Amino acid sequence: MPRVIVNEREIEVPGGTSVMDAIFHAGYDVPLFCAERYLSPVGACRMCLVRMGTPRKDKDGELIKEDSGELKIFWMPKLNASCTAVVSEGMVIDTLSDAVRKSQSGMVELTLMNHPLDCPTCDKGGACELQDRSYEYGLERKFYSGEASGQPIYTRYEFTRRHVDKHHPLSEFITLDRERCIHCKRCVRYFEEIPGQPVLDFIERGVDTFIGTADYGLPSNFTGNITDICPVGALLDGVARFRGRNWEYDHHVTTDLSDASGSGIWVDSRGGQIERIRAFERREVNQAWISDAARFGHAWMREGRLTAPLIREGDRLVPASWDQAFAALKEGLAGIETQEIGLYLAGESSLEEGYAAAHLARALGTPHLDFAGRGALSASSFTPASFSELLEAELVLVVGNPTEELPILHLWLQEFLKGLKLPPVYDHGTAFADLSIKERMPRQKAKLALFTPYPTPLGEYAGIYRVITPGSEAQLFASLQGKSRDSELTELASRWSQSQNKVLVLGAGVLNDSQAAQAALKLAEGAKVVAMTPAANARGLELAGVWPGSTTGQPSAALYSSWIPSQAQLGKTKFQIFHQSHLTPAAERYADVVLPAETSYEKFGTMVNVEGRFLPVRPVGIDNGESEGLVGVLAVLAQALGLKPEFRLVRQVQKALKSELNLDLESLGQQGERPELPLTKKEAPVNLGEGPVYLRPSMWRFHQLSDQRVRKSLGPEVLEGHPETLAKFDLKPGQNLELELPGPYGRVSVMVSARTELAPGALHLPAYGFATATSLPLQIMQPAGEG
Amino acid sequence: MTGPIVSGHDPRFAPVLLVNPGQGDLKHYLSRGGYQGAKKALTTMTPDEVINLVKAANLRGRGGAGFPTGLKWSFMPKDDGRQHYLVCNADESEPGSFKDRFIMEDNPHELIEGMIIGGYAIGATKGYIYIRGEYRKAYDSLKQGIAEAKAEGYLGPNLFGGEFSFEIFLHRGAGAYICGEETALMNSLEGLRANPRLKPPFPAGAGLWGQPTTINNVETLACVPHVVAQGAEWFNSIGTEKSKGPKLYEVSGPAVHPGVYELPIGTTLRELIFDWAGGVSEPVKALIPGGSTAPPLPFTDDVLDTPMDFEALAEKGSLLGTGGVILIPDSVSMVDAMWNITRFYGHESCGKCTPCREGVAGWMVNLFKKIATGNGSPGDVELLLDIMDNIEGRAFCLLADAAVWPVKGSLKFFRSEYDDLIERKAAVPGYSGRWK
Repeated sequence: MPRVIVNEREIEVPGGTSVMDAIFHAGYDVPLFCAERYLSPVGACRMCLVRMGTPRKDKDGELIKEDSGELKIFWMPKLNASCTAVVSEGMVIDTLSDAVRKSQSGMVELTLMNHPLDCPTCDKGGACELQDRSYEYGLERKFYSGEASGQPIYTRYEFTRRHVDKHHPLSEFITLDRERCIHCKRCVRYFEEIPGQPVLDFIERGVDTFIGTADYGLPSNFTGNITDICPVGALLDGVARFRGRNWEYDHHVTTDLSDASGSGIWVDSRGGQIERIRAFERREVNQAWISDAARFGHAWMREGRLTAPLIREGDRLVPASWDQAFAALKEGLAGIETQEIGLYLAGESSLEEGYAAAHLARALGTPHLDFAGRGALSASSFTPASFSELLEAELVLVVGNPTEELPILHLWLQEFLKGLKLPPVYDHGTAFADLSIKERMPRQKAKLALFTPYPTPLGEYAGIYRVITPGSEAQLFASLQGKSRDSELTELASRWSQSQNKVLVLGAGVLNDSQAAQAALKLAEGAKVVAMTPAANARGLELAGVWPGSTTGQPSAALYSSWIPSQAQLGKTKFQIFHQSHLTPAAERYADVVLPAETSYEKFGTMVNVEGRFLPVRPVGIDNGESEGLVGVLAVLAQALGLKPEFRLVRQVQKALKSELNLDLESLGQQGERPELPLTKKEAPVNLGEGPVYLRPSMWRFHQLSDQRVRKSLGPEVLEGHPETLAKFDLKPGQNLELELPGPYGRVSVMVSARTELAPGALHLPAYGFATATSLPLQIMQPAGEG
Repeated sequence: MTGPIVSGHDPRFAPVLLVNPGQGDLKHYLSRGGYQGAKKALTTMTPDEVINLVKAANLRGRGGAGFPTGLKWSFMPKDDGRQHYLVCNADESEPGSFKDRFIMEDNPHELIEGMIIGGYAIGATKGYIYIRGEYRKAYDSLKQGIAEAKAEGYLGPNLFGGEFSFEIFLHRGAGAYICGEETALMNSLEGLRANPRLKPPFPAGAGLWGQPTTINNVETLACVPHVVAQGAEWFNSIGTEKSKGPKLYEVSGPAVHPGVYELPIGTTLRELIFDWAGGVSEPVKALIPGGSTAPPLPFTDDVLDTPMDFEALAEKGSLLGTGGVILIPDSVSMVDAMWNITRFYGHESCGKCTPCREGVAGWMVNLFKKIATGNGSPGDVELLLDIMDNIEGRAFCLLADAAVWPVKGSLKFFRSEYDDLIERKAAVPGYSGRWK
């Protein structure tokens, strides 16, 4: 490892380290704007210029020395950008000399020259890199006027600043202020490098340069991350804009439960409300990125929150105290056999909640225990691949749509295609300038085979890319295992069987279908698997023992914890308890008791992500009235049934789990733990439904759609199909229909749209997290006229 | 006569690059011994021998930097199985420089032949000519030349019966000076925004589309056939100690006969201006010896007796650059001339890095406007010098340095003109306030 000297301090860093990281590693600081973790270093902002020198060898291979006997250092004639320079043995780096300081202050002056300095009205104020760097490096004594008043001169630029577009909406979620932009190019590089969707670029040149898109909108599921990496307040989160100053927020770190990735998030709350969500860096899980659903999908929480229990009086639900609700429970459950009580959990219930539920179900002797988004085969049947293991693979076979089902995986697949490894970690954290990352890296397409029911932007980077008909997954596996007339598949099958280091990615379409899932399990021998379950915490709940017993009937009483019951369930159950944070139409109509629930942002517990990593879920300061978590509600339920509840608190569950798992969940670190977990193969059928309408996996969840901004960003609802399929059902592109859909949807108006990229056979409608990858009959209420 | 040839009057000197204007078609070119160099190289020499010959001839890049061409070619990887590219930089956009245009318009086959030999030497089967968008006539002429060469078998598969195949593609730029920077040129060729790329990787390692690439100037490549045909010794007999060969010099400004002149490298400025360009048509106070990037020098006997080669001009504090001599008459204020040049560089800055985008395109242009329109205040020149210190050597590519050098040079020799304007609060002569 090269030894380098940073301002007299000698350190050792791995070869290939950038000079910038060596400086940070040595404990010194260097200002920067354009370098960013996980992005390519480009050397555009010129803030990080330092003086570098190296010793040289003479003809005999001896290091050249000064007359005094010291090593002679050959200084480079100019200052160099430290983010793009690589360290070498014996390099001497100087960050403190006058020449460097002058360059830094000069560069700050140039950067600030056309910056509007509207910090008092800027959302980034107080958390702005430009502000910080200006204070640290901007003012030099020589710029002070020297007058008695001692007023500093912040800049010598006396001309009118550049006046361009402010408040320019890039999309529903992101507002661009072009005056504040300092052209660091982080956002432009981000879109090309991280999701591989180059939707932003510089336009014009010189001092008139600005960033922009070809059209309105940023067509990507990962747009919000640019608001995190923008070093100034040019790109702002539209949901959080003007809702608070950085120092007014309470910052909480927790785990996002909108998908199974286990992404770390910063939740900023103020006055008991969530105002903003940002990515929290979990190097091996979500790096520094989160999906748009995880970031922007929180405004639904603000309106219509249930803060107290409701009990039924006649055909109305009336607010009640917990005591009254307890009495109502006791009364309603009287005379019902305990094995006739069903417990239905949301897919984002925590490990602890699942454990408590499984315990209670065992105590009640009921087989009616389930969670939403469960597969026909347990996700824990498959050997999980970690995201960093994915980078090491030779071949990845995807059957599903990562962009929608597990957005973070889309980003990891991009890293994988570029052949990158995890960036090095130094004393200061992840490398700021990882020189192995380049701009516009070629993608190693042959390493990825992608079969998806719905087109994805990953397709253009896959060696084999096919859009398949939903429900044909089992068939695909059959042709990959047996003989196929399709030469491309035969070749892929032979490559797959020969590969020693391979990863299989399975979508909900495979996991729901027991035949396909069994075939996938066979194909996965010797491979590691990423099972993209619709339930965020499927592995945790399976581990806790939440799985239906063998039964076909319906229970007489049921507790639905943030679970959307089907029409069949609702009709046959006599006593129904809804535990939810917002009142749903189904609860309004059928609930006997409604108990206010915690949302996933208020939970204290643990989730097990798609890699089998245990990650902490921590509560955010939100005003939720008398809401209660599932563990407490199960205790109330047990008591109403005359049982002594085993767990009243999450911590009691964690204590029980501690001995069982040998893992202290109470003090789980933010990067999580990934212990070896036993594989448990469990089966239970999933109702796949019948009919031509396929509920395709989608990143957004139905409850998030109550926010108008989300709804608008998704555009009008479309029923998509291949032109042939449309013709088969006598539908015309542009036609408006009214459909009757189950679950949370009700009656929905949709527009028919033809899409030739789709495989013929099904009509696609986004599932929004309910009954993902199942089918429905086409029930048209009325044709609403031609579009 | 003995000794090196350093004057156009030397009887041993015969122009080779620009001969018989208007007779650039293949028939005439062949009658002047055209494609003999390519034939010799491809049929009797190995690629390494060609590179060694060019090295021995001491041919230095004619695009401005003067990097040894043979050395540049030798950086290309050998037999690595990858596609190699030879790119000809014909995006001649520097004010004062128009020599490449004459070669392309009047003698396109010379460039094509040079590219064939260059491609052979570096193992490139594909060549690109990135031509400035405004050079319509040169484009037409090259297009015709390439078509002729293709038809007669000088371009295409298995040239001269050997195994080497070579194709040339013409690409017209869209009017940006930065495209003359070699890495920005490659970005532009790839269809991307013309921003300079990070080096390393250098083009020889990963250039156009990530493949090994060499980029040469038009005049450099045009010299190559003559080097091969007439030998390194002939080339070395022309020029000064470290700069060899014939060179195209341009004269613009108030000269009696402005234009392009082919002379031995090391010819004095006096000979070029007075003997070949016919002298000056009005009193001249300064000259820029190598295109707008080069710092201006006063029009004195000392300067006029300077040989025009890379070393002598550097010693005088200026640059040979592209050899484009611009004369600045007494009637034009130095501030006005430098304002003009600064506006050019400000307009052409790509906007990638801070010092160039804000410093050159923003601040320097504004400051010049302030001084030149009679609004200057004491301290402005010191401020200008300080800003330039923050820009020079700190930008991503050389464009910002190119903007700073002429202004710095003008302040070295003509500072009094700035101070005078500021003191009198006067606008530059001829400024009407209606343009710029």
